[in-house]
Amino acid sequence: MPSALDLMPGTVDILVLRTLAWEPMHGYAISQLVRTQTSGAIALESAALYQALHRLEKKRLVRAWWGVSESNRRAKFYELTAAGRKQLRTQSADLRAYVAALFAVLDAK
Amino acid sequence: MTRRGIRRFLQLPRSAQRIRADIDEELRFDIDMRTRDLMRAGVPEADARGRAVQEFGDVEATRRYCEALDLQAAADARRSDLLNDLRGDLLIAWRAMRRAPAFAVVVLVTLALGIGANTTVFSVVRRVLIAPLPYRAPDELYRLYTTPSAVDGDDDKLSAVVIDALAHDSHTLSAVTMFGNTGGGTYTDAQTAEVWKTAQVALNFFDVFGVRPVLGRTFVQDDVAPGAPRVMMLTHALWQRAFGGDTRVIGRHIKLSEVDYLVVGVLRASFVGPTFDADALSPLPFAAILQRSQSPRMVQSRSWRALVRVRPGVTDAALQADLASFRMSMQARYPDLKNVGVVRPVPLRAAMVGNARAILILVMSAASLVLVIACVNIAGLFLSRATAKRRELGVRAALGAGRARLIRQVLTESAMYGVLGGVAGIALSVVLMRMLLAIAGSTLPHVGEIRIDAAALAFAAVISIGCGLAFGLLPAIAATRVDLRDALGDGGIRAASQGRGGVRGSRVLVATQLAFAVVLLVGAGLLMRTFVSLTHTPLGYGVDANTLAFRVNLPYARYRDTTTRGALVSSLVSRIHGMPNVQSVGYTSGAPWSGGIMNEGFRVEGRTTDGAAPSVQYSTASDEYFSAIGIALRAGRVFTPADRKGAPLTMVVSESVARRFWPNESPIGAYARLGSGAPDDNSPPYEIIGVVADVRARVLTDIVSVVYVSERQWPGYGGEFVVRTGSDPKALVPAIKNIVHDLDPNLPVISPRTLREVLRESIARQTMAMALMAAFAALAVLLAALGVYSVMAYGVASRTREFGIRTALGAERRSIVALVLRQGLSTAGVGVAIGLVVAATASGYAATLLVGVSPHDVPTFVAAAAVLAVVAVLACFIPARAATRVQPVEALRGE
Repeated sequence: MPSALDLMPGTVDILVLRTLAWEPMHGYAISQLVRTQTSGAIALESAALYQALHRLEKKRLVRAWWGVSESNRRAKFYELTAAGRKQLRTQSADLRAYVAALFAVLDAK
Repeated sequence: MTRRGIRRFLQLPRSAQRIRADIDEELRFDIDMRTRDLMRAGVPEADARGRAVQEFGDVEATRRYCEALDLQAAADARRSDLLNDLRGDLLIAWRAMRRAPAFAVVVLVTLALGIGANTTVFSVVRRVLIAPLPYRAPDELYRLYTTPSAVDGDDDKLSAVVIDALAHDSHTLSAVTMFGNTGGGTYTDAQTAEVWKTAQVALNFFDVFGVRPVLGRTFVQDDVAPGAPRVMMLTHALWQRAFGGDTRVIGRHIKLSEVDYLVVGVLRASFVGPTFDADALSPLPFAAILQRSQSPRMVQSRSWRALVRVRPGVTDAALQADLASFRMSMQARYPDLKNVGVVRPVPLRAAMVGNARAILILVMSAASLVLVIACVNIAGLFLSRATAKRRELGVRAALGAGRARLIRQVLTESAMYGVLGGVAGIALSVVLMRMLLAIAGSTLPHVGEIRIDAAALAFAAVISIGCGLAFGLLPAIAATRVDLRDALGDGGIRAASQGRGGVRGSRVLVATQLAFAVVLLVGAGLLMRTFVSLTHTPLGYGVDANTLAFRVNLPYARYRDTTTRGALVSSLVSRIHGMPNVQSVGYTSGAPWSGGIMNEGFRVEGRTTDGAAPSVQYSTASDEYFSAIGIALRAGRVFTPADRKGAPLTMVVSESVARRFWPNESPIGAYARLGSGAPDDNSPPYEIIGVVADVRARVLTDIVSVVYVSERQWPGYGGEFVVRTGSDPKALVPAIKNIVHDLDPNLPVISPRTLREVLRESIARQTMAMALMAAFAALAVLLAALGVYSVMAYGVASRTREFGIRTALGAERRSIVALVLRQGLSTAGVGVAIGLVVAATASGYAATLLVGVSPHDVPTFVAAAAVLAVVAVLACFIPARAATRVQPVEALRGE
């Protein structure tokens, strides 16, 4: 496995929100999805992931319930709330603008 | 759905233990999955788990982080649940209130009356009995009392000699001061002539209290030096009233009864001393008084009130012992004198408050009883209604609300009523306080300003919430004892009739209300009988509304000459006599109630007395004084114009004097002298010409031994005029003022009032206590009637079906009335009986307030029981009649 990039601060939350936007899923599924989506380029450390999930739950951006995993085990599932969806929209727009501005500088000839 | 599923569905917060378990399980799941995937990817089982844990990162930190967050979230959720519930409950309560405005009005008015009355009474009680007096270390201050004087019955005056000796001899006292009320003077300036009451205070008076003046200075030694200008301090109230709070009053010369005074200081508004209602204070020349006081007779002449400060830490026992040894040494010093040096310390507050304390405690008890009755009443109303609400609560219980949650809902409603009632009660208490002070202000001890303050508001808030919870709790428990099938199942037939618990509950409430109402009625009854016996105690003079009394003071400076004084009084008497409707006009230097009666030694001519002459009181009287005031002549005659100046001196004595000095013979024709009997005393002999009835100074005091001398022979410096008329004498007051003004524009007519008003003033406290008790008792009876009625009416209404069936089965109307009455009255009977027992126990504590009636006065108890029995019968009878009007068909169809 190629060495993974470290996450920039603040990006864990948006990554989690974005992943949950597809469908409700448990924590391990989120980290799997991030790994495959980025072809392993971004390593989402589980410790950071679960801290983010509980943080988002407290902010009521996601809600959680206990369900059954594909391997038939009890697992805690997370889904976006309306507030979470809104947060994802504004934050990703902000991030896009920020990155675009960053690239405008980086790519300047 | 699993249990946790329901938990999630209901959004209930998890416990701390649950939270930890959930986090552990969640993190374990992640590590297990990763281990499994690693093994699938070919990592040996032995390494896979280790790698999964390592890849995870800091497991322990994550666990702690998540736990902290989740715990906080759970706490937030719990709090917002409570708030949401509260909002919901309040909304439900508010809607219920809007739906049944009559119920709400009854509850709120009842509560407002109860809370308003209690807040008002509390404010008075706090200020008078609880709040510290506005002096330095007020608990160290005592007033000194002694044996009742043989002369005027007063027990709070000591002789200057005794006070001086006390200051030197005692070792528990850090300071001794004295004061005396000297009456008053007439203040005159360009526009007005008004009377000021004055008091004399010792130089150290203010130091002993530890108070400073707001303006100027207190008194100093130079103020009482011979030849020094007379000085005066003004009370704050007088300063405001007479000088508009002008600070330039200091250093001003004013005239009081034609005498010049220099104003040197103004007292603080908060200074309310034991000098009663004096407007102005002057310094007391103690050394000079002491010099005059050394003769044995002066040792007994008691005219000064003493106030002492004990040393810090002196116990009551030490003070008593010190004063006992002081008495011994005084008796050794004056072996011939009886009771000299007897002093009894009374804490200053107790001395200032006097018997108002017992009255206030009584009134406070009455007010709190009314509040209890009000709460019981409202509890009854809630209980009746709660039974009707069982269906609604049943539905909520079926939807999963726990019992505690339902109780909370019911309590929220009652607390809401409590708060609303409290707000209304506070508003009412401001009005009540204004009324109370207007009516009864003068009967309250002057220990400070009484008003609805922060403490009163806090008190009102506490009792409002307390009441809300108190009257809500029983109904809440009763209403939430819900059987779901009962409440929902059969359309509410059984739900609508009271359960056993509900019936018992409302009976207890009815009995409680009646018991407390009996207690209040008995209290009011006893005070009313006291009032009646007070107003019927013979005073020895008339107390009718047709006789007017007023005072005129003649300033020494202008009326030094006896002829001038005599001329003024006689022309005043004759001019008032000439007014229409006037039957007789009398004049005296000291009416029984006015305190203007003097003490003097009394010696019967031809008898020798050893030691000091026994003292009597004397005053002057005009010819018509006895007939005008209504003092009966028992023997001989009263004064006539023949008893003029220059004619042989004559004297009229009261019966008690006649009995005391001539036990077995008539005093008529005998001679007596007034005076100390000292060698330098050359007082003239008087012939005794008549005996008149005894008089009392006030209703609750002993007979005073008075001898009267002729006003014509001894014109005084003013006194009391008594005008007997055939109709309302108040109409004469303006004309009388004109006459007085005509004769001397600088003479004010002081406190004109009828003799009935004089009597009322002297028993104002008892009257006020009686009036308040009567008001509270009336309120209690009204509330109790309402309570009995509402419980009975509700009971009948909820048994409509039963009565329908009974009627259908042939029961007679009479038997149904009897059934309802029997149930109602048996409850009422128990309540009244309990009330009588409680009243009999409690009335003993109020015995000190009762005059001429036993605390266990049977007629009063019987009457109180009878009143409530009648109230209970009426309150039961109306619902009972309603029960007979139930039509069987309707009753059965009604469901």
